[in-house]
Amino acid sequence: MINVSSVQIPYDKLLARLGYLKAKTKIDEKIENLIKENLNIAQKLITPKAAIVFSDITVKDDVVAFDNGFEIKSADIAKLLHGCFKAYAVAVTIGSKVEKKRDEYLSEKETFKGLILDAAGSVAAEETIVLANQQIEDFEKQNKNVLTKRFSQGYGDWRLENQKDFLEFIGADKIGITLTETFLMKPEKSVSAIIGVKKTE
Amino acid sequence: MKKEQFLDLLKTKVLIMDGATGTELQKKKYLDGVVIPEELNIKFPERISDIYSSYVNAGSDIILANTFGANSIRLKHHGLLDKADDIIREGIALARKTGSGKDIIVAGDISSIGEYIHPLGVLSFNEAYESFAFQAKLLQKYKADIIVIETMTEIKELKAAILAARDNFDGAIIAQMTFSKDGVTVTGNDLTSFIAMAESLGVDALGLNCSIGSRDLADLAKTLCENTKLPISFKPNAGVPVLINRETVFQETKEEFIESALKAYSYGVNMFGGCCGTNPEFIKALSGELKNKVPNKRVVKNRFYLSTRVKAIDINELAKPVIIGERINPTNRKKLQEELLKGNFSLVKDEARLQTEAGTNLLDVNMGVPGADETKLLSEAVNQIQEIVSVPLCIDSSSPKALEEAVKNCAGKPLINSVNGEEAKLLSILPLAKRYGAVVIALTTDDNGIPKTAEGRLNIAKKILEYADKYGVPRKNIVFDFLVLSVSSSPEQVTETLKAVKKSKELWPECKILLGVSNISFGLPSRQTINSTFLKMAVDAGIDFAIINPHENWGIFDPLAKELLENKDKGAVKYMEAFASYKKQALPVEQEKLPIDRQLYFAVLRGNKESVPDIVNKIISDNAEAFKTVNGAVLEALNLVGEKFASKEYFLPQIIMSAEAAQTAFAVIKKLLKKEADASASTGKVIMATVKGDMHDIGKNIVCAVLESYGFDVIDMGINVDSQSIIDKAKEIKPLAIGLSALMTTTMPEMEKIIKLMTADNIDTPVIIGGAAVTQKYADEIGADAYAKDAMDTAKYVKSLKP
Repeated sequence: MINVSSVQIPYDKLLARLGYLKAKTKIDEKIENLIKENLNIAQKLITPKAAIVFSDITVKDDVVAFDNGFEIKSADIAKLLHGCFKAYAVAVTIGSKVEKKRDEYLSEKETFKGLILDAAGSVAAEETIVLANQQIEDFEKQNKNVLTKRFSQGYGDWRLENQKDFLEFIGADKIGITLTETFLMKPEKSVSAIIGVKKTE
Repeated sequence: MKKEQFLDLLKTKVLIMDGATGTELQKKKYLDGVVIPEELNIKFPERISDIYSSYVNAGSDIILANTFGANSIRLKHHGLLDKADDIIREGIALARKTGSGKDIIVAGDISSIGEYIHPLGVLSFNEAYESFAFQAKLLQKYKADIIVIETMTEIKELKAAILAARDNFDGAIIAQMTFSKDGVTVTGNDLTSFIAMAESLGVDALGLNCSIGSRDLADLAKTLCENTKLPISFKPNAGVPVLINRETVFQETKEEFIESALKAYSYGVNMFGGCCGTNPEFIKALSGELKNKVPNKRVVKNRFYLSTRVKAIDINELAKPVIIGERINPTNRKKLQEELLKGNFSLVKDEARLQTEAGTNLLDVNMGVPGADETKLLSEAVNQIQEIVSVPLCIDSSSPKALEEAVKNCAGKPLINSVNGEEAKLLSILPLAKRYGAVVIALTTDDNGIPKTAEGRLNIAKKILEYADKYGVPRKNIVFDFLVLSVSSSPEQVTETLKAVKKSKELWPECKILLGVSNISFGLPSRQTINSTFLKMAVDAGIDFAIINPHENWGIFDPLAKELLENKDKGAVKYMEAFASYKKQALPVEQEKLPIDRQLYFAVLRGNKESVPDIVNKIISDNAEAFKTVNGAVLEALNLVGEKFASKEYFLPQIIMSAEAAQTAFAVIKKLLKKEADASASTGKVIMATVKGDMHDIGKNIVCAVLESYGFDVIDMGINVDSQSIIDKAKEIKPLAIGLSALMTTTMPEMEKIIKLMTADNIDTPVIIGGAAVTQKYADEIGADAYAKDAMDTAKYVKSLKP
């Protein structure tokens, strides 16, 4: 069902991430070439991976309980998953090679290259979670189910402190994601999220 | 086992390889108690023997010893380097023991280091090579029958591994890469680039393993079968692994796997096994269907590949002449020489891009700059060019050392330019062509110069071929250049050159022919008329390659030029009559040079970092108030950059480009001022840090770059900086301001802590804070002096503090 290994980093999304506005920003060929060069490097350095856990759920008050015992206490998530019978917990990462290269550039004071690699890594991680989400949606569609929006730690009342249990629940360490003491995911370019599933009315 | 013995075996029957090791070890919980799987060989030998014997019993002919990651870099990383000998010895011995009584072939297994080679990663080619050579030597010492290099995703790393194996191991070598469904590895190498390079380096078999399921891999095997005559191995995963509900799941069934394997067999694959997710059941089924069958015959076209990281081109399929762009060459080009002496490759990259856009098939790369380290320049040029264009390279140097380093660093199979009939050249260049599987251009000249006749040049060609045979360079890898002299000084020579071309095609049809064209018109007007006419005549004579400037017009064919070239227009009388008054269209008059301070202004505005040092040095030498001039021009440019950013005409990358240009300007001028011990130029110090617990570097670095571009001395304390050390630093250097960055809600509280500590310590240095989660409101709450939403905002605030 889930295969994210083919993720591509779109040039236009990279530009947008860097603050490019089609109607206003003017760039010349030189900078365009430089951005594309570094985009190509980033593309070669990503190794997108995904891990998912799903089960039936019950939502009661502020608590979302997965059938296999895991619980999330958050009013915002409970609200989002209201009416859902099932949920997916997802984690994706693009690996650590992009950020290693970025740090190498930054240590050489190549800020421009570091900036492009960093942004390209972020776009790649975003593309990866979007693709995983899409594949889950395609799968659920076959059973006439629909998905809620995707919800990540740090949104609303779902605090970063909950990340540890959530990643353990997903088994994210198997795709190489770990957590620092301050709840920063390593590799940095990783995303975790929860997605609810409802029956089509 | 002798290499020939193994290859003979492959001619007569299909061999069954083993299935997955890693996923089987995981499944059986055999990895408990070891750091890496290879450690099992010495710590829990019974576990690895269990895996081996399960595959031997299932019918495997080839068992891969458990030496996958036992290269020196990886072993060292895991603190097991001193155990390398034991690990490899036992890995092979256990497999040997398990297979005793049966004709089991024990393969030494080599895979990726886990770090890429420069420019993708930090390893040098030589470091990677040494790491693999270390492993290959032990595989030789403990008598592995063959080597399987597997799961490679980066062609340069594969190159290092193949060379290391070949240099240190006697037996057969199989090279396997890992592709995704579209036939491209994660680093962008395609199937043909793999075939071209691995074949040229002399591997004995090619193969595919891991990553995708058997059905998709069978499609790729078909392409492989159609494009190489070498034996092929096929080791798919049992589908793409998916991590669902904390279990790695391989979704393919044994039946699907066998169906694909049978397809691959029909295409002509010789060896079958499995990778991640397969198990002895899969191998048993494979063995039942395919073991000992006679391999299917394949029909393969004669290919003549040259290749890069991303693709190979088949010269046999291309229209003639195949164009080699000649423009990356600093001879007589002062500006390019100056840039290269400074280590700046932007002009080289521009030439690479422009020529590729003009349709050149290959790029000649020459870095012969007087006074420069050619070896270093040439290798780096190859790296940089290969990052931006995907045409194969023709590596051009008279220095064997420079050639070797560059050819080694080249991702793919290049041309070497060149060898000739001189003894010394033959002895130094042919071994390179052999070792790196490169095609080599052979000039038909020797110690006595260029022979005047076709026969003379053909004699040298013959001598070169004899040497090639002696050094083991395949004759098809020799490309003759029969040399072009100017028609004005040697009118009779043109026919001799073309005669040699034709005769060579008869004598040695396997050798291709090249001519460098532009020399022909030296000293005559309307050179391109002659060049282009000559090229057409040369193509008719049978040349395969032409070294030319692809930007010129190659559609010209002029009867007068033809007469001249055929030596029918004696003294070029008719040609001169027609073309003497021809003037090459003058280039548009260069714009009046701007005043020097305006040049700096525009360099910063447009982010041309490369041009800044020259301009600033010029200002310093011309101007008594150099700092004032530089400072004025830079700040004026930065102000406009700021305005453009505010109006969104510029976006962040442009700010950084301009900031880097401005930083460069200040770096140059401050170096001078330091020499003159003039401290008055300092515009103040700023401490920057990402707070404790937070690892985010990039935002803070952008702020640092912008502040430096305004001339501030930025003390960048890095990431995850302890609060007390920031305060200690502030006490020591008394900065204008302290800038703190935090990206996460969980690390922001450190900012408050620092401000509290400062208050307690009576330090009144202004603190400005920023970062994704930080707001003005938060700044007010914790008593920070300012909040900045971006780097420009920070600079604005710090400027307002200037004494």
